[in-house]
Order: sequence, then C-alpha cells, then structure tokens
Amino acid sequence: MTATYIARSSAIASRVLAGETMVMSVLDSTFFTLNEVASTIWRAADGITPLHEIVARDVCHEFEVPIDEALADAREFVRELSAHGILQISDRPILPPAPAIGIP
Amino acid sequence: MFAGASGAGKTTISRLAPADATLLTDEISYVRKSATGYDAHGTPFAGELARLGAHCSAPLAALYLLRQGPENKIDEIDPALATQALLRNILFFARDAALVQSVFEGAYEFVQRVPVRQLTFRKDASVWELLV
Repeated sequence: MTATYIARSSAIASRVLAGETMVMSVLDSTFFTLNEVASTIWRAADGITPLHEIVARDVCHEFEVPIDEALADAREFVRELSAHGILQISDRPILPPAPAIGIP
Repeated sequence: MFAGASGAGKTTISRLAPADATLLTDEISYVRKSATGYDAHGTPFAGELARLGAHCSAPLAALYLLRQGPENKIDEIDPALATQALLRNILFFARDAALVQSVFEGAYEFVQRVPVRQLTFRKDASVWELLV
C-alpha cells in the first residue's frame, strides 16, 4: 500500500471554537467546520506522518473506531479538503518550503 | 441587528418594529468594535422601506439570523454555524488572501463577543415582544 501524506495548506484561515475547527480557504472563501475526529486529523496533518499512522495512532485509539472504517472515512475527508485546496495530499512527505537564501 | 439573505425578512421585521424604535437602516449595516463590545451604526442607504438610516449608533446586544415561520421563537446556534452564517452576510468582494483572513478573524472574534441566535418569526408585531 502506498503511503499518503497530508499537510495543511498555507492559504487557509483556521480557528477552534467550542471544540470545532473552522477552516476557510482564503482563495475561494470555502468554509468547513470540522468535527472532533476531523479536527484530530487536521491537527496531525504535518506532511510527514502518513495518513494511516495518524488514523491508527490518533483516531482509532482515541475514538475506538475500526482501522478500515476510520481509514476509508479519513481518505474521503482528505480528498474533499484537497479538492478545495486547503489540504495538500502526496505519496511522499510534504516538506515545508526551504527558507530563502540571500546572495550578496 | 438582524441578518439574512434577501427575502429572509429584514425589511419586514423593521416595518413591524415598535413606533418609538430608531431604525439604523433596513439596508447595509455598519458595525464597529468599541471599548466594550460592538456598536451598530446607521448608514445612508435605504432598503425597501425607502428610508435613510438614522445618523446615530447603539451598542450591539445580539445578532439575530432571520427566518420566517409559523411561530415566534429564538434558538441558540452552534458557534461555528454562527460564524459561517455571519461570513455569508458580510459584504465583501476582495480576493486578497490577507483581507479574507482578516474578515475571517473579525467574524471569529465577533461571534465570541456578541450573542448570535436564530430568530424565527411570524409576520406580525408580536415578535417584538420576544426582543424588547
């Protein structure tokens, strides 16, 4: 199975309010409200940890959901967010852009 | 302050207001942060009532999202839904990412400081008994 890596886009605004995460694309103003499970995946989307590890470690353990079911839901969730450009998906780790180097 | 899409009842509820109420506007409202909360200001825009808003302001007690129905009632709403509803009702055309972020932050802060509720109302003056 190919690993899937996810990273939060920089083109978003997000805040947590009353336990839910609100995410808005600053590109097209699409607005999402993430429930507790989705918020857990969102917080863990560091570009380095594979999705199946996030689900096994954070979702199945915390919410007592079978791995197959949780992973299928997670894949659907990340596809939807990715379609709106607020989450990046890759089959390789997603590294943050390297800092610019000044050349004298 | 009342908010809603066209047809939700902003002008209707303004028309049903008590005779001694000061109408700030039945069109676009202007809201500013104050030292203690937010103030709603009258604006020189006329809606269906064809009356210019009053040149004054008042502290904002609550934001009611309007919906017409068979009975008058006020419902609490989830803060994230309130934020989303507020964003839908903010007049904003810019595509600039920094400005969009700023509007989002503004709505987030507003919802934490001002009660946002769903107001369902019948088309008669009895709704104002719930509000004043």
